[in-house]
Amino acid sequence: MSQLEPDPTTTDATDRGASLDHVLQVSSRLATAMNSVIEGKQPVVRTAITVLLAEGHLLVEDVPGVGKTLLAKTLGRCIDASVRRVQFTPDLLPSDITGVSVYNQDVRDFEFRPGAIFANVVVGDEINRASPKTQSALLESMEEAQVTVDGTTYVLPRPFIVMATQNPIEMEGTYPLPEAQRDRFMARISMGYPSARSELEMLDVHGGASPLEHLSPVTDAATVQAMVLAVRQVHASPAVRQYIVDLAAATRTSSALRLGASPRATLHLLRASRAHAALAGRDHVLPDDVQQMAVPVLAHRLMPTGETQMARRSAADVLTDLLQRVRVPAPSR
Amino acid sequence: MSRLRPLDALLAALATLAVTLPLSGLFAPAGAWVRPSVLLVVVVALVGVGLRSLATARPLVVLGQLVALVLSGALLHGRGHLLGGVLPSRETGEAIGILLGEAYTVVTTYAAPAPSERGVVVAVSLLVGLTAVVVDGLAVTYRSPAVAGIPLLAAFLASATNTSTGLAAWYVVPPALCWLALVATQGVSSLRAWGGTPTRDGRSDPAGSFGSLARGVGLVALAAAVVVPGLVPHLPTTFVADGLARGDGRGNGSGPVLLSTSIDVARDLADQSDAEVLRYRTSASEPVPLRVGLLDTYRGGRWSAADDVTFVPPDNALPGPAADGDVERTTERIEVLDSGIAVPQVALPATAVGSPFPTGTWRLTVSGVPELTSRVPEYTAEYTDLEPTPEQFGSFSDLDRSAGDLRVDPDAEDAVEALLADVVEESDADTPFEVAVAIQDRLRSTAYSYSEELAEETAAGQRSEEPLVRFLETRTGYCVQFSSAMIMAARAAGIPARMAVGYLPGTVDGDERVVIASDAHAWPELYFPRLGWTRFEPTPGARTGLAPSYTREVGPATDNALPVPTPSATSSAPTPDRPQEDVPAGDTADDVGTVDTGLADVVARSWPTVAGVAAVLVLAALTPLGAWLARRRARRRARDDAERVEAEWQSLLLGLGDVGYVPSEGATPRETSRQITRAAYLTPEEQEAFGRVVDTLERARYARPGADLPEVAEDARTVRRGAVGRRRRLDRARALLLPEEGRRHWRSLVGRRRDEG
Repeated sequence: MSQLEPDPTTTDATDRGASLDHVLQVSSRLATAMNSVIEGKQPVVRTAITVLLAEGHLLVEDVPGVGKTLLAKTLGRCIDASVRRVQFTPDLLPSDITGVSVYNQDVRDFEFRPGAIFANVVVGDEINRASPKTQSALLESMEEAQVTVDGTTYVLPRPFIVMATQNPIEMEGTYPLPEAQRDRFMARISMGYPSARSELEMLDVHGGASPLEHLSPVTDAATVQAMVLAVRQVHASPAVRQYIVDLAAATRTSSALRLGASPRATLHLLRASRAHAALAGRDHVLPDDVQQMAVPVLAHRLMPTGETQMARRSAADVLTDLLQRVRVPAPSR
Repeated sequence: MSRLRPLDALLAALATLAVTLPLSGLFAPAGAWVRPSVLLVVVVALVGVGLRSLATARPLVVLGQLVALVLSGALLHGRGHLLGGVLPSRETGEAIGILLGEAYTVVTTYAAPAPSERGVVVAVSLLVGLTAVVVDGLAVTYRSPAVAGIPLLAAFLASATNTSTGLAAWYVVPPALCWLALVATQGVSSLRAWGGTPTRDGRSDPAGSFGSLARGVGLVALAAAVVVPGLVPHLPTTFVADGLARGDGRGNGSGPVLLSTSIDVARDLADQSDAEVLRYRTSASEPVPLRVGLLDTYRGGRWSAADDVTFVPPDNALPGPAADGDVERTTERIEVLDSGIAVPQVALPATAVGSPFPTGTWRLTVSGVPELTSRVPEYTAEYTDLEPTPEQFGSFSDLDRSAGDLRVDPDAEDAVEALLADVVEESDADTPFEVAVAIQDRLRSTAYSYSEELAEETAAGQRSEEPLVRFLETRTGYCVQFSSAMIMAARAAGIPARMAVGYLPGTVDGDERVVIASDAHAWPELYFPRLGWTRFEPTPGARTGLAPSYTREVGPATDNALPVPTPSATSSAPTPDRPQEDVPAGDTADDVGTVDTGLADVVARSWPTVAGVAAVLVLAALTPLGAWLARRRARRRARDDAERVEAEWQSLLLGLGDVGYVPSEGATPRETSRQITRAAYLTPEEQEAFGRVVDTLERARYARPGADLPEVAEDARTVRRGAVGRRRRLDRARALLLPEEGRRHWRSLVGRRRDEG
């Protein structure tokens, strides 16, 4: 099992993870490298790094051609780690993801051939094109960070992040992720179109070769894992935990939402807020961190009611309202 | 139904009638004018309802009401002058015009209550009817009940301000209630007209939700209108139009002024007009009152002048004071620049000498008062300011009892004797001078209060018809009563005394002094053989200033003796034999003494006001005190730095909230600082201070326990000062007087007490 609980008694640097300064240094290198490829999308890049450090998975949802795959690939390229890319198609089989036991004539036994998921960074392109069966195979392994084939459990490498892209426009012949499965992604981001200036720059700089070609890794898997451990150490005070619970409760009681945030969402929000605080160089979480992460972490899990949809309000809009209304708890006496 | 509005019409009519209530104090008997007025109001209301039911255009409704008013007015008042017994004609108009002219005469001639003569009845009822047309037109026909408040208020004020006494506070209640009901009915009906969607609890009446709030506001306003005038000290009565309903034969205040020396001094002396009477220059630092006439006979509560014989003065000169030559004196000069006093009266100091007027323009009464035979607007005179010593007043055996009147009014004799005995016993006075000073000091003491309105009853509820007795019982009155009391007491003691009427020295205007009509004054003159008629001043200092200097420094028993006046270059230098030399009094000590006495005097006489002001001050200080206590308590109760920072932050938030800086509900500390920085235009230094406060708070709240937390009180103060300082003065005052922190403190205390109970 790699879902280790941080042990406060150990003082070993690798176990405790890197120092916050180190986290800050490496993450800013990472951000710089990624920003050099993805023009003018600093918030998106920042969220991606946050999710990486918070041990979550990222759903990138947007129209075609805005650089969803590029973002995922860039992150993979920046880290010196195993990167696998899976192009999801209707005929993709679950075993293509998880791996399959093949009979080896030489040893006269079944031998496990690891699937696409056995990598530090897995880029799942157009995840909604695969059949639900395949999708669920991916999502199960994402959640559990392990794969069980023919009764044998294989632990996935660390760090492990799945970055799936999804196209919300072209729906024909696709299997959109059910809500239960979207819940497994820590955050959903939209790329959005670049600004006119960034687009122009993109034409100038990347008009010729692929920008990824010149990109060299700025960190490695071990360092990222150390950073992940450091993020786990970030202090979340009772007041902040209370705030997160209050926010989740507010989504559940809001009359504008059909489905509120799950307990898993609460957990994800806390982890994402920790990473966000660490990226700001703080060793404690502020309600501001929670507010910053609330929309990317929660919005894709919420289902607006029909009335809300008719009023053209998205779940993110409702969430923004809730953020303005839910009181930030002061520490209780 | 919607056009008919009978309920509104009824309320408008009631409101119109309610504002005429104060008129009952203006015209008596009220019965005479009430019936036609009510009749006209009813006619106007009915015609309004009828015309509106015919769906006539709004201006036509008002026009119809006016026509109805004229017709019914003519029917009521112009009988016998009507065309065919029904229609008004030119003759009717003339008849009513004559009646209105009569009304004008009554109004300008009589003081309230004026007799309800026929003209008055016509005028009042027509005016009430006209008010009804305006109110009904605005409130009902044009559906603007709020605006209808203006004519109602105007009518109310016109009648209320012309009653010579203050109106009881409840008079405002009936018209206010009617008007509020009018506003409320129309407000409710127009709100209902909105319709609106049913709310969650199924109510679809938008008026209902506002109703209780509106009722509350209305009741509070009404209560305030009744209570506040009772707490606020009464200002001197002033009149909307001079001369209206308080005529005294002297017209509207301009033109020559004649003090009545025979009929009713009281009315002249209670004159509140600020019309200029006299303008003069004087060399005296402490000017004396200017005498116009003398009154020596008191009968039936009124003073009158003796039938004085006048004669042409020999050498065209005034007699001057009849004092012995050894009485110390200074000569002062008075230069009258413009006298508005009517012939034959003329204002001069009582001790004037020389020949101020051209030969043949004046005569002298036997009592020594000059009377003009033709107008002399400008004149210059010299007068003698006597500074007698107590010894020069002589003893009882020296008194010349034949020099003047010694009659004490039989009705008042007992009360006066009692006063004299009391004063003499208390002061141990044994010379006429000491007795006189003791009487004067008693009357100037805080036991008596000055008021231009005479008290109706004593505290015990007794009521005496004799003004002097009533004054001695109620101890409230104005100069006439004070002077009468002193004169009668002096006479009872065997000192001849008489009343002088004239004007106080007036107010300084540059190097001149101006006397206005309300400076009219009366004071006693007592006769002492070696000094002649000598002025005393029993009326309290608030109106008259200091008593004459020679009465101010004597007697072991004169508890209320005023301090020695400041000797100045223009007045006489003190001589070694004068007792005031013994008084260790410097200039400043004198001034302070005077002020102290004045202040004590004011405090004693207006203690309800002072107590009220003190109570208001204490109440005002209560909430800020609560805020201070709350802060102190929070700081004391803080068990660690984190709680201290938290308390400081809460206090800062409440303080900012007091001036209207309220962060959005879900704002984090950082967001709060951003919002307030934006709203309050904080300077960079204040922003830094705010940043430090927020940073410390975040560490106190969210970091691992044990973090190092600096003191933030100073930074919080900087922020608060900056943010509050940029608000309007009113907001700042409210934040200062009613801080939310203080209110919460008291509420929490009350809550705890209740819980314990």
